Amino acid sequence: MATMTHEEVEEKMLDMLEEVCGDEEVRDHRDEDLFELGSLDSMAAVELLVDIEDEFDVSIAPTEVEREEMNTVNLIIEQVEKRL
Amino acid sequence: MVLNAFVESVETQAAIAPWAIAFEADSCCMTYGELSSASNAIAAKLREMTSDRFPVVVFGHKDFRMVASFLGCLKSGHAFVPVDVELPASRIGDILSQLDSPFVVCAAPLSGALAPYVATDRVLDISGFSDPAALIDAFSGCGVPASDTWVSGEETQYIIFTSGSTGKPKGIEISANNVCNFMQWVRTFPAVREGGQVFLDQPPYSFDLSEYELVGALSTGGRLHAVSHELTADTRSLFADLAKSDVSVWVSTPSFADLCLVDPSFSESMLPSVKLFLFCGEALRHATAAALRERFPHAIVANTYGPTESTVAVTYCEIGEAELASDAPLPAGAPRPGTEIRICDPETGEPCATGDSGEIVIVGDTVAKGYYRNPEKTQKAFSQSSLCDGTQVRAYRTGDAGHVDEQGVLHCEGRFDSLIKLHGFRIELEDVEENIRALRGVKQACVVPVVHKESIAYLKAFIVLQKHPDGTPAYEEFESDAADCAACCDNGEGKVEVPSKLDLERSLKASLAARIPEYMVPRRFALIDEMPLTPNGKIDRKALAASSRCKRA
Repeated sequence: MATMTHEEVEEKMLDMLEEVCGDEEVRDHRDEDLFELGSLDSMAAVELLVDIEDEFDVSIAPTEVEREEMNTVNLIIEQVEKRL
Repeated sequence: MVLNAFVESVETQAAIAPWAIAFEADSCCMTYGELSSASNAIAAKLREMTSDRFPVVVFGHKDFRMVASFLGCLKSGHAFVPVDVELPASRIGDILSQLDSPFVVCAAPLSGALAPYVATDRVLDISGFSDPAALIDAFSGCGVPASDTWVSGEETQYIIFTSGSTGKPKGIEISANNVCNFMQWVRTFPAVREGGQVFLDQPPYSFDLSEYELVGALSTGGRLHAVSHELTADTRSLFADLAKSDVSVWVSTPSFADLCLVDPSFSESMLPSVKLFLFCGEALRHATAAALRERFPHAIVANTYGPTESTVAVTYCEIGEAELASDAPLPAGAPRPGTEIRICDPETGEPCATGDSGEIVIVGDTVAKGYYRNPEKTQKAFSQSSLCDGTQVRAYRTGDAGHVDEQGVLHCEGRFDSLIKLHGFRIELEDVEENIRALRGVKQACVVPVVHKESIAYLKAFIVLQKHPDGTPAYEEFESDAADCAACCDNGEGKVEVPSKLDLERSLKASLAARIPEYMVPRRFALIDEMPLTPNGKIDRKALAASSRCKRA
């Protein structure tokens, strides 16, 4: 896991976000608030955290991160990479 | 003879321990004494303002005014119809028009959008009272209705509106007897039977799952610990609130527990008093039950099953090692006393052999009276029947598939029709489709559930837009109710710009959210040129569902 490159992590995360948000457009809107876009809601956010744990063995507790620190594609990727 | 055993038992609690807390949310509390007085005050005011016994709409969210109003309605001879503020105005409008300009108790201020549906002289606005004492004071001059005014026997106690296949919600009428029979059963549950427990009060009151804690807590001297929609949306504040709550009976959908379980701090050390997790509303998954047993080794995890049409739930099953060891879906449990579960052939109605799968038919003393002012739908699903001992009761065809094993335990296997459960909410896919088709510019719509990890993760809508004669989609027809609609603009030169897929989705979501509850709005929209058809010429739902399978499942 530790040997994953930034690009690999990014690609995996984009696939995952596309699946969870149900929308390939998220790839092109990486700095927009996914909650405002309507791509993420609280249930989808939970799915995402569970999937991140399954995929990267990284657990992010909803209580440890403010929504503003994890509400765009790029911020989500950043939070995951910090913990790898 | 007891007129209304539920109201009676709340009054008994108020007489024994008037100082005990009946309801708490954020900073506001209401004791049993205050609940009794506040509901008397509301009942008195209602009798003054209405001379009939028609259903009364109670509009609001998770606060003491709602709970006092429910009881106030019952004491003044009115069924209550809980309507949550989170529902979109047009949906509430549908409910109000079906009830034929009902009297409305406003526990929250009515929004301007609802004004046209409500006559100004048919409203009791109690939204301004910030605590029970103020409310009791304000109506102190009115006489308290005598107990023979209470809703009783076969009269309707409450009407819950749920998703209907025609695009309009339908009302399920639960009688006072139904609730009393349900109450006798709930009071035998572990923890609940000890009395004085603290119940998590999370589901909106317009969802009948909330009757679990309303009836369970208030008839046993328990305390409702209410968490609002806003609080639920913010895990950090929610957990801070729960940690102080002393909750001992947890009532929620499995989805809500899943949401909490994502955080490792959700465990016995945060909620040391939890004795019972009570689930209903959707299938309880192995993963959820196993995680709860690990995090809360001293609590009982119980699965229950039942549609709104049979008063919250009719089967109960504690999930232990044996149930978790099997790969089969977790059992729904054995029926309560007063209920018999029959499995019948969905086509002929003939009983199936033990162990065989068929349609679940619920026969018993908690089966609803039927659908409000809808004899046709009522006749389709409800009938008169009798229990094995000869007691005359109603029967309800659930449309759920399942089988009963040799031990008499029910196992659920999904649905026969297009009614689905998403995160505990029941949704008629046709209801969503009707509402999408009602949007301007939309020609056809088909909604399919997308399954991920044993349960429905979200809904996906396939949409065919109206077209010009040359075959290009008529985007200019497309119109959103949302003010910030970017999808449908004329660029000023008479030419219509092709909107981006994201803009289209956003405006579809916004328009739809103005018509149906948030939980019914599909997460994903796909625009397609035409609907795939089956050889019979029907929309090929299977093909659409197959195309939207989760890739990573």
